[in-house]
Amino acid sequence: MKGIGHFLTGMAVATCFPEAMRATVGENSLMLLLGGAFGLLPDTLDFRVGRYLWKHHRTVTPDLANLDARVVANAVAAAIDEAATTGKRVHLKLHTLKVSANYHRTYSIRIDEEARTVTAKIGPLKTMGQAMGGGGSLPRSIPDLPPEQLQAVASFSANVDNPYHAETTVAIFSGPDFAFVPDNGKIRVDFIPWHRTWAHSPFLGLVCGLLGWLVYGLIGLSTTGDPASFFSARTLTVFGIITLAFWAHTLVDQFGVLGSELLWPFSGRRSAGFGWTHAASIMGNITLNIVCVAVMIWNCVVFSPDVKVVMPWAAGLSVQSFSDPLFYVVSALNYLVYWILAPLAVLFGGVALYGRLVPRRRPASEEVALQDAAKAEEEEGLDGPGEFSGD
Amino acid sequence: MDFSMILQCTWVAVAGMALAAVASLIPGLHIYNVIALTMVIVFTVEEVFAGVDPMVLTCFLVGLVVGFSMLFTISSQFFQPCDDSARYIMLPHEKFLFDRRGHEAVLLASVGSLVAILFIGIIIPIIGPHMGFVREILRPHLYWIIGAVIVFLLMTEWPKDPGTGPTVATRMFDGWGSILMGYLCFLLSSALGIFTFYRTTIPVDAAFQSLMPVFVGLFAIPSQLVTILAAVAYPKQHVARSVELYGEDVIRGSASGLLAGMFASMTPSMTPGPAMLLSGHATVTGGDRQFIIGGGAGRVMYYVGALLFFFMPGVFLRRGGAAINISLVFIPETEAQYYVITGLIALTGGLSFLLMFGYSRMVLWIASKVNYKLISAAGMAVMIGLVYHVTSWQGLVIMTAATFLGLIPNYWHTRRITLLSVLLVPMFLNMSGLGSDVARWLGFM
Repeated sequence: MKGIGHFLTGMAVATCFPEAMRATVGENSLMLLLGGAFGLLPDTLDFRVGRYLWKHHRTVTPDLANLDARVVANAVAAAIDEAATTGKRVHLKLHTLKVSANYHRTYSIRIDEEARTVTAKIGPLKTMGQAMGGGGSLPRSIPDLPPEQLQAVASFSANVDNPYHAETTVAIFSGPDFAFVPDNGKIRVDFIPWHRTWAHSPFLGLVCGLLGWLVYGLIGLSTTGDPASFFSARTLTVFGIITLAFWAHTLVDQFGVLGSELLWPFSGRRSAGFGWTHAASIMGNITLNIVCVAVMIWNCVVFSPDVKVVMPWAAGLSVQSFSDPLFYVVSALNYLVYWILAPLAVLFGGVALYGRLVPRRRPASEEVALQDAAKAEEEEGLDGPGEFSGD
Repeated sequence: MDFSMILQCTWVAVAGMALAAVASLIPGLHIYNVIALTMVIVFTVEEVFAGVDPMVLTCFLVGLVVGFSMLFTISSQFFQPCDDSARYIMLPHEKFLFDRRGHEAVLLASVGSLVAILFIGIIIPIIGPHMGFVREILRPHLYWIIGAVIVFLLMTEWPKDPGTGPTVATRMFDGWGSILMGYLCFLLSSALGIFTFYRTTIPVDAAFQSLMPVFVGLFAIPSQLVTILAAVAYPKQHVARSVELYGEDVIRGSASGLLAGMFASMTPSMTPGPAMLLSGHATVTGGDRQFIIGGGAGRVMYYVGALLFFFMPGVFLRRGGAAINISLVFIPETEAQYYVITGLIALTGGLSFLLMFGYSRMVLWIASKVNYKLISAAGMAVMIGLVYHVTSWQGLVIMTAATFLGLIPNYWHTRRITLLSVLLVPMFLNMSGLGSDVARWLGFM
């Protein structure tokens, strides 16, 4: 999911803690921000730290002045065979080729596990908006090269398991990483192997929660002098917010194509995702964001000091306070139907209707759709390109 | 309100829109600068305006805001081309310019603006009465909402290095260089903001414009300087007779922009920049067209929508420089005033939309006759003169300091959006009750 979705999920989780909401409304506490920060932290760690710590055994950087697909294909095939012959992981990095502030030269590789070949192609220019190069001011989009330099095939001898997708285009920002991992007599291809590893593990979430608990407990101890502050509602709430916001990130990611290293540090294997959605899914992201904002608003209403809200379904109840369980449950159900399910039904219905009336621009094939999904997950931590400047 | 009064209001609103069209020719000039100058003139020659109904002056300012919010980006589109060396990436309207499609970008933005005007004219009056309730619900939570935006902006400052260094240390250094400069921008802008709020050196009689030199320095002057120093020529532009546009782009772009505008207009210190960044991600805006359409919708929704909330009975939300300045001379009281203002927004919005087609061609014609560097130099001179006139030499000192800060993102490829901590951080600190403590700690109190 997009960073904002994880951030909102963490915030929504935080607002579900009564102690946090009481402290927010009564004391201008900043506890809720912990939810957002730790909800987003796994991707922040991956894309700001983890990717730099990752060790590349081999890198591919085609020469812009002398583009040659053979160099790319041979390098990838050699990396696969090296993993097979040495029995050790080989990490391969394919670097992007920046031509200007707006254009990148693309190239692609395809690992065919049946034919045991790597096919590399030199592609067209692409803009930072991922559009194909075109227009009057542009240089020629496909370079004028001999056919053997534009497309090349290299063979490898290893038995490869490539569960994710077949073709990868190296285009903008940072290029993709691969890990070729010996696994059960085959070489397993892991895509962006540094992503969703230790930084997404529930174990790290627990560690972060414990650190938060320790810091808040120590602050309480220094101000009150009472060791019981380690077990105060406030300190335990901090532990809960941090841990659950972090775990919520891992859980939400699990619905995508890539999974996470759920058992790190006990196992370094990244689980497969459920594949229900992907990081750039429009409806997936919007649904998550709507639900999270709705949860936050609900909790703001419940803990509002000035405004008393009575939902229609709860109007006839004798006790009209959110402290009454019956009133709370009936109101919550009413809110769920009117303010979450109904808007989502309208949204999905509208999108379905629009889809029927107006033919959509769809990916050419299931494989292309899968590649798009993979690319989206690779770029989910890059939150910059949608920037509007200034005031 | 009698008919002659409504007629008078209509004429001055159209006059305000016409002035906005002229002022919009100056790249980098902000609507709030023009309003500030207008207010200074009004207060300076108070006796001239003594007989003028405040509602009339208000309608003039409304026309000014509507016209400006729809037109002011056109001059930047053609007069401030982007230089590769000052950018990590090109924004969509800059790409369009270099693909000879600058006029098309203007037309796309105009579509977003029109959607926003329709939304303001049709939907806001329907949902408006509930806005007071929403405001009451959110009132105790605004401080952490602003805090959440700050945390999100900081955590999503992204490394601009593609990771090509040979070692972990070089890659880390390359990647974190731009991130740390972004954080430095954030800290320095925050300090400047706190200084402006607690110990500004602006003369007392111009204190209500203390933010003006800060914003001119952070945003307008740096972009003009970069334009003057740029070594780039953009190709001859094609004036398209039609625009390639999909319904999906209009819906998604406009939805993103309207959401951003609503959020910014309801949240103190929020401006369209960070709001559109958030809404763009939240609605998964995709492609250059949606980005440009969203920008047009978001700007109008923020500047005009926020102003309308000020006049809305039961809401009277005073957000943004326009509402704050208008509140110095006018207090909305009746529903009639609200409906007149709504009608004038629809009228001037529609006129501005129609004007955009010819206006874009005119700006393009000027750009073909006059060197864009000269235009930016003239614009910069106007801005500096304006700051000096309104806030005296003290304002110039603050503007100069802010300019140095505003240049950092251009040369370190960080996000300019972090500069908005100049507003976000002091507001967040004040609303969470920490403002005085931090100002005292920084020696500003």
